[in-house]
Amino acid sequence: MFRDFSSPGRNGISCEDIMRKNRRIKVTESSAEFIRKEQIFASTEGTRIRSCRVISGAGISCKAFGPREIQRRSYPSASKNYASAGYEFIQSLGLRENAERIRDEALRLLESPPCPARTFDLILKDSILALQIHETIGHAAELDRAYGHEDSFGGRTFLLPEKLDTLRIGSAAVTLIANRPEDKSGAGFVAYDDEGCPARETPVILNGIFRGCLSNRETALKAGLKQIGGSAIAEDWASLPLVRMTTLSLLAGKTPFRKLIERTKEGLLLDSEASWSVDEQREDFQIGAEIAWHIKNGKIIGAFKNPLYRAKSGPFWRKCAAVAEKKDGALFSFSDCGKGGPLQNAFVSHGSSPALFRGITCYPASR
Amino acid sequence: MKKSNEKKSFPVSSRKFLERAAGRILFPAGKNSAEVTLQEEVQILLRFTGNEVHQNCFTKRPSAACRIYDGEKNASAFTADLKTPNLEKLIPQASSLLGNPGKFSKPVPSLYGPQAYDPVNDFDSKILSLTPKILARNLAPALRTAQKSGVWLSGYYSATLRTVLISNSLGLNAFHRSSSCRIGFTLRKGNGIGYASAFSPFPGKLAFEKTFREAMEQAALSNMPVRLKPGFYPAILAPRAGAEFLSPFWIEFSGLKVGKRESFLWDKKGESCFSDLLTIDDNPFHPCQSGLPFDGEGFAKKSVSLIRRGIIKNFTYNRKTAHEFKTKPTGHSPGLIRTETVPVNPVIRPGTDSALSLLSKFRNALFIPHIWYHQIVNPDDLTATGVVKGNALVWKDGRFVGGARNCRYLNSIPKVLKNISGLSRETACIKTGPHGATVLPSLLVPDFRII
Repeated sequence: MFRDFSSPGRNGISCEDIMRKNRRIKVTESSAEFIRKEQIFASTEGTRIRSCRVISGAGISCKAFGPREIQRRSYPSASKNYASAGYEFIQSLGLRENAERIRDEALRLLESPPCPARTFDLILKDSILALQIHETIGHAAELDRAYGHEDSFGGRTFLLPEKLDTLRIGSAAVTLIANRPEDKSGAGFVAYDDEGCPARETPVILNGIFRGCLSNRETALKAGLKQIGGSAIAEDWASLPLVRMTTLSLLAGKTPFRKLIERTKEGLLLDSEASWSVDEQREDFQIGAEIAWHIKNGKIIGAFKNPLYRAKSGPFWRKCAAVAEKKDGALFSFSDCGKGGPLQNAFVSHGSSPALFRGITCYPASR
Repeated sequence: MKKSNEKKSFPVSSRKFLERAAGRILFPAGKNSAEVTLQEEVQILLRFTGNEVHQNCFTKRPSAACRIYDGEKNASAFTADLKTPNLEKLIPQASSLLGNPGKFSKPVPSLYGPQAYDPVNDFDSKILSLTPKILARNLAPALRTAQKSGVWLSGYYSATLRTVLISNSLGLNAFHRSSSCRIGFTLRKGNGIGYASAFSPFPGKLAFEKTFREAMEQAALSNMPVRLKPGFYPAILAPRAGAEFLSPFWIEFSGLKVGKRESFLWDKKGESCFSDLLTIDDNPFHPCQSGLPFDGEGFAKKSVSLIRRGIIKNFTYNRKTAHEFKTKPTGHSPGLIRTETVPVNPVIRPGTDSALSLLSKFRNALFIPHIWYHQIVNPDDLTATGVVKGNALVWKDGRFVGGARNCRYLNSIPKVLKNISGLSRETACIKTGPHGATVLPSLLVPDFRII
């Protein structure tokens, strides 16, 4: 199982060998992680749930060194990708097949100009779109924030239960569903939460309208929700369950990915998250990518380094012009979603196809 | 009966018990080099929101981790269950992994033998008598005052006892027990938000009332909403905001990062890079500090000078990186598996003026109590972004005139440190991890960029 990473594989070459073929690539990382989690939940209500999950994840990255600059590229995301699966998932990632690409992209970034400060149309793909969903909709939809339970830790939210069914948070192209059975291969998916409630499919945004919150027993009761969301998750046996995302996915649209590019006059195709920062209401965010591909008149003509983009959550999602087809999408799972005090980490999964956003403010990381 | 229950609220394992457990783990190692880290954290935690206690939590987390070496190969194993059969399986589990690739690329020097440690004064046995009830009783006046004042108070109050024992096959035996009490208040009234927190190893010295007053005062001062235009402002980073702002900076001193030229400091040793007001030591023995007297491999810590009057003095190394870069270990091993050697007990030397008198030198300025989502966006010049949590207090013509919500900043950390033009005489100890804390004054930055 380790041969893909550090020692010669079937075709005699490993990810590390491929990435280190150029002298300017001085730091490379390849890692895989395998978790088997057995859990027994019992409550005085008579619930007895026994579960066993196997989670696998892997990723590669490399750093290219210039005279006073370092550029990083990673695959499949800046922090690996995970699934509720075994080694077949690692094989399906195609790490070796992507090692050469990220090496060449890291080297290319050394020669690329910084992202200009101006408005662009943005196409977000893969893990950076997953992160966008996570930070600006997922955390915002956690109902404990609306009641101030996270005031001292994770903050509050602009998605308040009194705005349910009335607030337009996105364009008609935006539909986000939590706990979809289709996402059960995501590392964040659970059949029952850590209060023994079954995870229920919950539409959070339907055609742009705020329709549902992520809840546990306490907050669902407080908000008068018809059903409990089954979103009470604890890091481990010794931690208090918190309201948090398990899976939350952006439903695919009908536009092929290549058409999104063709429809873009002056835009950026962003890949791989590099930084993220959001205010305590989950309203004002700034996200950075490892690479910005420059699109002009429907064609990719170059690359920019160190891109950042910034917007308010609601206006940003309302500028979503299209979401690509299902076949262009992927399910991304992060292992390090942090919330609560003391901090708890949890797996979380987001399915998404690339999406196009019109007129977003972008600028370079250093000005 | 009740009394005896209360006394058992911190059921800590004795040193003898942990030493026996370490012996059981190490026994199957035979002639191989092996090391073991046993940790136990016992905590009472109260989370409160909307002027009432919302969650009570008691946890006891024991853990044991071992690492075994066979020539250049090494492997580790971990358990959270300290029952004897589990402990005896750890070394065999780790040994079974030695067959896998995973060896060090260069030879590793021998483990450390027995050492003498300077004392760190961060344990108070009074913590053993604390119970959730006592914590709730201590908190009650603050909750009552909040209720009466028509404010929304939330936060946390915790008491934690941590024990660490590191042993190895060469007879090293490093033991430390520390106590830690923390309180954090988030207080809202109208537009105003106040954040204040305090930490002390000594339950009786936790500055309860002062911290509450500070949060009340900030909420009152920031009540009037003020819109800030993007631009450069003179700003005071209060100790909490300063510790948060500098948190990604310390790893730049890691010998490994420096050796690989990944740190922006890699060619800066002996150079003047920062304001000459800045003198920073990594020193767990400072009277206001709290931390371990040894590193994650049991090596005795000493105070290490990082920056003296703006000049870069030293980097930090563990057993492996010191050997690799032909220098001496500095007592900064993070422990089993991890490699980066980060200073975890930085102490910034204070100035002579009060924070308020530093502020009063300016007509317009900002006071930043707390930041969050602070992230590096460009590792080359350590440019960081983040948001002021709650409000930045806006200072105009000699007084605070209100609060500016959601101020996003974009600043290079080295540039900020170069331009620091004042340090307050008051310092605070900001807890930054289980065994880490930053002791620092308020920092005056003449050109803090808000975007």
